[in-house]
Amino acid sequence: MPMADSPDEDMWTVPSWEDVVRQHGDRVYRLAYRLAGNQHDAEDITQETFIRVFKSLASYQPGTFEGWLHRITTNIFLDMVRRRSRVRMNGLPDDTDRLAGTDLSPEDVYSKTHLDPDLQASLDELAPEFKAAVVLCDVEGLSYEEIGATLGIKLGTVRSRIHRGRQALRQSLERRRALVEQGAG
Amino acid sequence: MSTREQRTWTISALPEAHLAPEAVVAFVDGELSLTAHDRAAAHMARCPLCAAEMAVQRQARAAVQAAEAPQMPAGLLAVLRAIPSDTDLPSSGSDGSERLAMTADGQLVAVQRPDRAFGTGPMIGSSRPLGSGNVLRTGAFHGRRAVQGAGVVAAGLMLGALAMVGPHVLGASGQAPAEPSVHGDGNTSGGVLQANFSAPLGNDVQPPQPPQAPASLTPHQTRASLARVH
Repeated sequence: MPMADSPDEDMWTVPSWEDVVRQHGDRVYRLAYRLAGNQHDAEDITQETFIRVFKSLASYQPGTFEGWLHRITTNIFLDMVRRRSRVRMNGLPDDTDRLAGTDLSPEDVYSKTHLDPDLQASLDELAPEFKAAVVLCDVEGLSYEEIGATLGIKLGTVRSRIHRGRQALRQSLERRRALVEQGAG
Repeated sequence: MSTREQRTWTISALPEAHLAPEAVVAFVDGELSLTAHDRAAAHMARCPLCAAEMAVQRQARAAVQAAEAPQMPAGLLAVLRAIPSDTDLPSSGSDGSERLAMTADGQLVAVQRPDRAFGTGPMIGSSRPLGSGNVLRTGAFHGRRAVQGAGVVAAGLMLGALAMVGPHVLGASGQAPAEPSVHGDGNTSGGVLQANFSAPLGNDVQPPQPPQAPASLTPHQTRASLARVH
């Protein structure tokens, strides 16, 4: 969206912050949600992503803005997971963790009943590194090279994480479907 | 049988190797070269095991792709939009790089560090004045090529200054508070350049580029020395 009236239509103009948020907010949230599995954490991750974007703009290296966003969002998610697992391992109560079925917002309820609850629940069973690889590939549509750049891993690792992640995902989906069918039968 | 026929017969009797898991997943995601893809496809046409493996990958992928995209909850957008006014920006960068700032009307612009020596580069004012609105627009943007500073105009205004000072920083006078006259020709530039994201926002995701030099500003062209406002 051009910011100025100018005859040079082929020039690229700097977007406003408003533009940045409007154009990328949904996608960041979608990625955050698929990674985190719940609205509360997804909101936190999304907000933190954009705060970091805003603060880090000076060190931004020209590349792809979307790739930068992917990296930030995914790293925030992985940091969050590591932090929480550290807390759990220390035996401390983790009050930042959201237990399934507790404290659901209306949006959470909607999500759980309308947005393929099995899928997110199955995704949530994956270890974070596998989940991230699968989500970046199948939700964000990134290439293996892009995923490797986002996660800082080699191509071979990308392939094996996606491969094993999907295997586990499918097993989980089938298990849940079988449970549903048993319940309905 | 001739020796050659025997050899041929022996080779064709070897069992065909199954596809490695990495090959299966790469096949499903279209990440194989054309020849590798064709070879894999031909193999899977003959091999139920590998075909089943591929089906697992494809089904899992389809399940994730088919899922409805979660939408941003109401209120989150407002929170995100408010970040510039709610967030304290770092007042200094240790790497001496350019900083990006927010103007009063919400535009992202780049500023130079304030602590650059005079006379280390082209005179400020040799570039187009900011007021002309065309500072970075020549050869502006093709693909992801970084726009080289069409003359870097340096004011070294600190981020905080821009964010706080508001409209009159980039207004008609273009004079920032406490700015010594650094423009010999009286250019009114507040010394900010528009930032250069080399990729237009909103386009499809593009493959990452190797790190490049910071786009629009070359540090050694600055002339700084504004008092730090924070």
